[in-house]
Amino acid sequence: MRDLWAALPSWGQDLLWLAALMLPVAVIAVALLRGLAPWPLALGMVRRFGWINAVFVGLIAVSVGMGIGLVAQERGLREGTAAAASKFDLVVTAPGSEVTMLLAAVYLRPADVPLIDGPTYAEIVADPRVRLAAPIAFGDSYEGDPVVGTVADFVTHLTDGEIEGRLFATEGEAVVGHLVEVALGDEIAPAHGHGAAADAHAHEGFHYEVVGRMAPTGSPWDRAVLVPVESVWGVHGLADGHAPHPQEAHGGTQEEERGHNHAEAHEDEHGEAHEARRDDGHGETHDHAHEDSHAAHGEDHADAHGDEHGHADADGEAHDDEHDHANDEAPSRALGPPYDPAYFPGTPAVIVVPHSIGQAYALQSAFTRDAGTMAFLPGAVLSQLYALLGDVRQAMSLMSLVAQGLVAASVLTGLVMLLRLFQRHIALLRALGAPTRFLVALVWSYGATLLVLGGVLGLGLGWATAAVLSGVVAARTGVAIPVGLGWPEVHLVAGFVAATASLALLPAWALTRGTGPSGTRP
Amino acid sequence: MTQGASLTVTDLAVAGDGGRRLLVVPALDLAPGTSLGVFGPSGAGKSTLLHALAGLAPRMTGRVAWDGTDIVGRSAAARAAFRAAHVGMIFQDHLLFEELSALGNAALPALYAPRAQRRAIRERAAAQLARLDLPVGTRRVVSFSGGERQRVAVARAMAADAPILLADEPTASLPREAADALAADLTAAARSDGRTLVCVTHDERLLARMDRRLRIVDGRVEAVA
Repeated sequence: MRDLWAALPSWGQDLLWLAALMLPVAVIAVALLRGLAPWPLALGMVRRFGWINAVFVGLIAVSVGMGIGLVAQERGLREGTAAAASKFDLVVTAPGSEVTMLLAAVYLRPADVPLIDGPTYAEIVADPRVRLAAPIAFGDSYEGDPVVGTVADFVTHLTDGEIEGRLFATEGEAVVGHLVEVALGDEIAPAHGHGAAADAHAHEGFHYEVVGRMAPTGSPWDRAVLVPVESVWGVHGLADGHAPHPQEAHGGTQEEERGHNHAEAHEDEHGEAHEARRDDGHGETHDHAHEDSHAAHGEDHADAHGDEHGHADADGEAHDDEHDHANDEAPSRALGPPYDPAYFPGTPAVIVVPHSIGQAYALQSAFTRDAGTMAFLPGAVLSQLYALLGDVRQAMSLMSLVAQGLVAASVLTGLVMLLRLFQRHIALLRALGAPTRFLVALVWSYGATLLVLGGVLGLGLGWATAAVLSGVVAARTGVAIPVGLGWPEVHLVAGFVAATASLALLPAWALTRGTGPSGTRP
Repeated sequence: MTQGASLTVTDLAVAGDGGRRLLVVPALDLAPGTSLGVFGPSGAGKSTLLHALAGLAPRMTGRVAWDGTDIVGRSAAARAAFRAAHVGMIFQDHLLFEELSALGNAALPALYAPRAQRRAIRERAAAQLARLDLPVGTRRVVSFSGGERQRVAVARAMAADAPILLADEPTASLPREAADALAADLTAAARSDGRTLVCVTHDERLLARMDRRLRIVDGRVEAVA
């Protein structure tokens, strides 16, 4: 028997559960209605007292719908967050909190995180099991949407190549997420930071041209502006990951000596990865005014930073080097991997795509090092989170069940009062000779009709509630929450309807027993 | 054609709440197909007699036998089954189901009758409505006049093809002209099918159409004519 059950497809099992839940109602209906036809009277009563019945059904629908909506939303939230992380097989970061890094790297929630340096990144890239190792850099935003630096291959991976327009090819180009409200060809200027603290003038004069739009991913990346990671590094005055071109090395411009003279590691409040800060090329000596974790390469001087991006030259000429603009630079500069470890400024996370999912576990093991790096599978972290929240969910489910029980009790109490409308009918039918079973069948089928209507409407209302909540969550987080009614919701409603309809037999029986034909006396 | 039922009442006593005696009928006999008019002052026990004859009185003793079948002492379910099979009831204030049409009301017994009888009940209901000049549409009776409603009640009583018709003040709520028309319809319907009709009424014109008359005063039969 157990094998037979296990052999059934899941929809078959769910269907059988539904049948089992509704079995009591079916048994009552068959036993009561066999050979009788109370429906014209029952439906006539539904029509006759339309407003009262509508209010009663509405109350049931709202009660059921709220429970259904929350259950559907909770499941949708799990499915949506899992789907949003599906493109992130493995994430390698500096040691820290997996949850914090998950939120930062996958769900683009800004966090203050340490960085991975160039040699570590190079090691990841060099691993033969790695198909793609994408650095990411964030800290800027556009109209509230995060600007994320990465590599073109990762954009392709994220969208399975479905891009309207094309990938970025220069530092001044951007590909936007599906929900970012800009058109292809528009120029957008990034602000430094996020939200209310964003500084729209920090990168003044710098802009990206939107050259592509990603297909929907159902993740916060739909609200992201994806740009070459070199441009994010560059606009914050860091080395761009590539060794300078021989001609640039002697050119004397600020770009020519980009990242050549030194590199330093530091973190800003946005968790940006800036290990190698770009030299402005003037050969000035700079005083560090912030805490650095250094990975210096051939420094002949040190930067001075008034803030994490601005710096002052030793000769007193103050300027913001983040105002160095990729737009002004020669488009022929290198973009994308391979990166030179010596000129790699650092990244808070590397999104790793292995050749096979099995290799993801091996890579996780390889790059989980106490002091150096931490690697985690976002799906596994989410599972742990769901398991942790599962206890809370069970408590909520219990509370919801108790609430549904109270609703059922209220519904039955209301039904008892509503059934008093039938007293005159019962008296008349008794006088005319209708059998008791017909009277019970009439009253019960009327009550069951209202309960089933309320349940079905509640199911629809639950779906609508879940849709509204999903819209709100999607608008706030970018995570597309799938809206749909699943078997759990159908089972919940079926259980509610079956329980209340079965119990409705009691007031129906009590009413017919307590009402004699004396009501026909004038 | 329906054959009316004979009635034999012996030592019938009906009590009300607290055992108060409402009606005493030492003896009453009716031949099948006879129409009996019951009259008397208000509160005398006329409707109580009618309910007792239908087996609706909760506390009664004695004997009420229709075609030899005594309904006193039977269970409520048995009396209900008897009414469903043998009695057509017409009430003073129509007592129709306002959410149903004329046909729905007239064919009401079909809802709880055996499946094999339902079609015949509906056909008879439609025929009775046509005979009483009532519409067989979907219009609900809530919009009908008082006379129309009472005729629907008559059609309902006739549709079950019951041999016994019991009517309680059928013309009381009707204007004179409508009352006369209904009286004519009711007696004609009873006579045409040979039904036994017992009619409680204050209406002299309706009483004049009855084969026999019975006067009740203070719960006692005073005169049988």
